Amino acid sequence: MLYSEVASFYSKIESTTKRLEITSILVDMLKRASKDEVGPLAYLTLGKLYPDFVGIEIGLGEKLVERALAKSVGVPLKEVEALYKKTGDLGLVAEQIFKAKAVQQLVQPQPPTVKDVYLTLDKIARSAGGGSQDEKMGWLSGIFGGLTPVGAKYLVRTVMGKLRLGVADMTILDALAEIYAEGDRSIIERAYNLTSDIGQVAESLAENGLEGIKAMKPTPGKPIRPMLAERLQSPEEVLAKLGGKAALEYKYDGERCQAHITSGSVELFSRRLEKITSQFPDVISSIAKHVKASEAIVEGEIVGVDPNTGELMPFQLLMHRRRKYGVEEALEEIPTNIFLFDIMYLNGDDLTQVPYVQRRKALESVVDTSGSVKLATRTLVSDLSTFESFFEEAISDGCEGVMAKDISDASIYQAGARGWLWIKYKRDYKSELADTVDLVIVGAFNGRGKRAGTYGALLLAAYDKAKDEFCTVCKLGSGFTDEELFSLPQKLSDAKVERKPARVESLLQPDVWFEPKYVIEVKGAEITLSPTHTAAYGRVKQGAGLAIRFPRTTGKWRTDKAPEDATTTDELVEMYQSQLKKISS
Amino acid sequence: MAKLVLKDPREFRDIIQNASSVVSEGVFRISSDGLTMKELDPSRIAMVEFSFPPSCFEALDSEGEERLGVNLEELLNVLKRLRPDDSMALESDKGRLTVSLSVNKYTRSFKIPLLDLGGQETPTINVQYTSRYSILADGLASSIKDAATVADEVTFSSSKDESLLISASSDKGSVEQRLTRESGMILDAKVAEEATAKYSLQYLEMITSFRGSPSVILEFAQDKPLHLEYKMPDGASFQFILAPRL
Repeated sequence: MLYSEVASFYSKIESTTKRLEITSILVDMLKRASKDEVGPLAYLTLGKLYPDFVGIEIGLGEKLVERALAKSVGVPLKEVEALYKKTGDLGLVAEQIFKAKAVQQLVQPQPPTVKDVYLTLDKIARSAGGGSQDEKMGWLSGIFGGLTPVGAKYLVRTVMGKLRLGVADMTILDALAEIYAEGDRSIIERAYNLTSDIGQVAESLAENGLEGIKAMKPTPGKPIRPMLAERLQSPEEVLAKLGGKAALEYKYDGERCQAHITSGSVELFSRRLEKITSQFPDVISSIAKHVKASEAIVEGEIVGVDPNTGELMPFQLLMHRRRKYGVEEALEEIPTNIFLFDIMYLNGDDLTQVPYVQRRKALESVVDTSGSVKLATRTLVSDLSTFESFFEEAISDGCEGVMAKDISDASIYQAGARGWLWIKYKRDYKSELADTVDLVIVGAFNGRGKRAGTYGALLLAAYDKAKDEFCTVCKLGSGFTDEELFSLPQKLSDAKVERKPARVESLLQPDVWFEPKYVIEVKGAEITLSPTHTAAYGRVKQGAGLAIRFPRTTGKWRTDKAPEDATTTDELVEMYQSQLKKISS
Repeated sequence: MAKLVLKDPREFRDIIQNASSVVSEGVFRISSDGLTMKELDPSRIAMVEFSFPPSCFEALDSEGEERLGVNLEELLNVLKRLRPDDSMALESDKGRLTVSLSVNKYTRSFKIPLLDLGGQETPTINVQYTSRYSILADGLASSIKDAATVADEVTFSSSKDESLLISASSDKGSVEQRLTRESGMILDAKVAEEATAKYSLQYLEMITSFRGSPSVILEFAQDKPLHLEYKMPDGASFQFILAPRL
């Protein structure tokens, strides 16, 4: 099939916005292609050469394309540049100059086929970095010759990564279904969801028909399109929807990812199926060590963990790990844990069709949780109060909410689908902490790693006037300079006591207790309910106190304040209530 | 493995320079008949061809026909190092071309990698030219430069009186000149049919600046390609074919 013929189908697609029409044009086009052209054609139509997870894009620079155009049509580069300035679309420029091509060619070139175009672009894309610009330009101008003006337009858009026909993966699946499955998309879609590779699906359909792709299984190295959850507004609704009982898992505020384990190597894919292996060498090595399987695909959430407080870090901090350079430094600053919650493939077996309860068992059987690979915290609930208290724990442990999962036999892994087998329940309200608070140091935890020899975190309390007690609100480990950090034991030594002071109310057991004496200024993200802290315990909600989430010190010691002048629990309650804001989304 | 020693290294350099303005790489064919190259430019608008017959060489050794893929730009960079009294030898071996420049007993040897350019034959362009002129090379070069000052294409019109009209125009202005036998510009002419044809100046300016021979043969026909041929006294030749604009 000639590329110019494909281009005229693209023209038709561009002239309509009706999806059904687009699908039927795609059907006509794909039917015209030979078996070995269907795969490349599927990628090209999406403006790609490979599935996204491969991470190679064509995206040639405009200068190079301008030069290739000038060279292959034989017009001065300046003319191409001027036209581009005028139209802003090199595709249109290509079409124009091909149309106006006043120069005859000495020899008529062979018009390129879909395969010619695909193989040339593949060569160009893979030579990224190596291979000179001139070489790439030469390859490109080699296929320009012999194109129709419309062919040139779409080829230019393709190589610049700007094809944008408005065709999505699903539209192509629809077209394939029409050709190979009498319009029933389900089997084809399943194959696509398991491999995320539309070219492979198209090609194996063309080669082996529907039977061929029925047999497709998840493949380590090819990301599975993630299963998605529905959302409900209350625990009652969630439980009702799931038949009165469910498994509840922490919904971590981190980066959802899939780990693909094959003998000797681990690859990570993001929720959007991008390869993120290089950004998380720590996760890779701990998965290699702690997941005991020769081949597996597991899914989990990578979360930053404060090595000193052991508390989860906010998502924004973890995002500092999403970098190309300085990965090693970031690794020390923001160590991570991965909390696994599912397994889709294990040693040759497709587990996507196996119920959730069994998958979780399989997951538990292969994970050794002694290191930084953990299992998502989970419980089984069948009543509202257990649900609610598990939810509060999740929030105070730094999670976004909980994920409720169907525990019936029907609870398979629905790759790429949003359904009611998983239901997320997140907070509606959050209290934003605009102001700083002044808190009393009542305890400390010994530091580890870089902080060995000093304190890793301080236990802080607010003053409860009514009871004349100091009630804990948070562990503080951030915001100190190294110098401040290492001077802490010396600075606090005169307040150190052997056991918990009588006026301190705490459910946590620090390594060192302090007499309430020192007051330090702290900024936090928000005030949350917490079962582990004692400030205003039971006042806002039964069984929960108030806590400051993601606290960091401003570095200011309030020597002007006596411990009784610190922020009071009444003030915290007031702040919590007055600052509750509805969470948008 | 082939080995050639050229009689006139500077002529070789000038021809390579001219060819490299049209194509960046090409296949050298070396045999007992000498060295030739014939290449189409990537846009297939122009073709260059040169040949050095055995008379151009002090020595010419080759086993059958050898084909060497050469990056002309890299070769030219080496040839630019040529000094007035240098002699030059070309030698191919194990994927490399060695260019040795020597004066007295002092030799500099440059090695450049050879390219794998595939075995595609460059097609032959068959055109029935109806007008043929032999023109002073300097005169043609100057006329082309004049045309290029006002436009990016030039029109040749032949007439039965054996004069040649060279004209160009654009919104920047126009220029016109008639070359005749009387003026001494045209050395010989044969016009079977009057013809007019238009060509892009993109390559012509560079090509006609060639100073390897005092005269140039210019052939064309109505809306057909243009053919230029420079013949050197030692038998070497350089040819250029350019597709017309319509």
